[in-house]
Amino acid sequence: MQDLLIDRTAKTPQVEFLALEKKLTLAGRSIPENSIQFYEPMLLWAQKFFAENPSKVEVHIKLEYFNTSSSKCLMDLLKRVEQSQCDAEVFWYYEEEDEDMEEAGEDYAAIIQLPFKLVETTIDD
Amino acid sequence: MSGNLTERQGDVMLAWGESILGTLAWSKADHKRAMRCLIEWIQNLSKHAGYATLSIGVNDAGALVMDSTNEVDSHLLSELKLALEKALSLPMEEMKGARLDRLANGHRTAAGGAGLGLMDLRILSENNLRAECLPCDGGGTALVLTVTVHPKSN
Repeated sequence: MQDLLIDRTAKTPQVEFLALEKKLTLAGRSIPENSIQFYEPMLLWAQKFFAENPSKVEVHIKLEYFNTSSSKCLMDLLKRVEQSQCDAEVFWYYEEEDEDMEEAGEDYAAIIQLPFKLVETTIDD
Repeated sequence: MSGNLTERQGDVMLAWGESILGTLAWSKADHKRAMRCLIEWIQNLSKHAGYATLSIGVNDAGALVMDSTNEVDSHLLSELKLALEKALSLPMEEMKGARLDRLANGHRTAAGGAGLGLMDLRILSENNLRAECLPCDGGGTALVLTVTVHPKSN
């Protein structure tokens, strides 16, 4: 299965979905006007990936900002991970003192029934 | 600024807001929270508003203030009033619970956000979201929205 790699832009995150490594990473800003269109390839990729019954997967979310419609798309992606039968773990990164992004991670952790690690980073990370 | 708000004009407003924020000696966390408010406010308007009047500035208390007025399509008025009621009428903690439920289970609106935008604006502004529907001369309705962001660290 091919990896899904999308370069970051001013409004969309870097996407690195690595099939062999079983590691899904989103990093940067996610504020596209049409988030459904942007996230669709990721959801399709995840559907194919989980159809191959991977034993495990790591999801790394390192977002600086995300808009409301991206928050719903992230939820869709995490639900897809949750519904898979594999041993999954989510790493949610937030900068120190960024309580809003920390709370956003806590919100997802409360909804999604997966091991969820909130990882504080220093501002220069 | 007044006019039909397109995505490109929204980007200009966002850049303008970011440049204003750059002049304020706020912490990075406050800066990011204000940016999230700017993004939600502008993207909500560019999705729903059509012709709008917007302003961004800093008030005497040093808070970032976003003001907008736009005429509401009559067929969207009841939907808007419902969204405003859900976002503004509940006490903050209850509204956060309702937002979580909507994030987990809510169906998307045509604009894709599942009606979360106003709720997020209220949370990010720490309950400094004001909205009012006012009658216009021609029989329509105008939505007047004010979002104020105070720095937490000052």
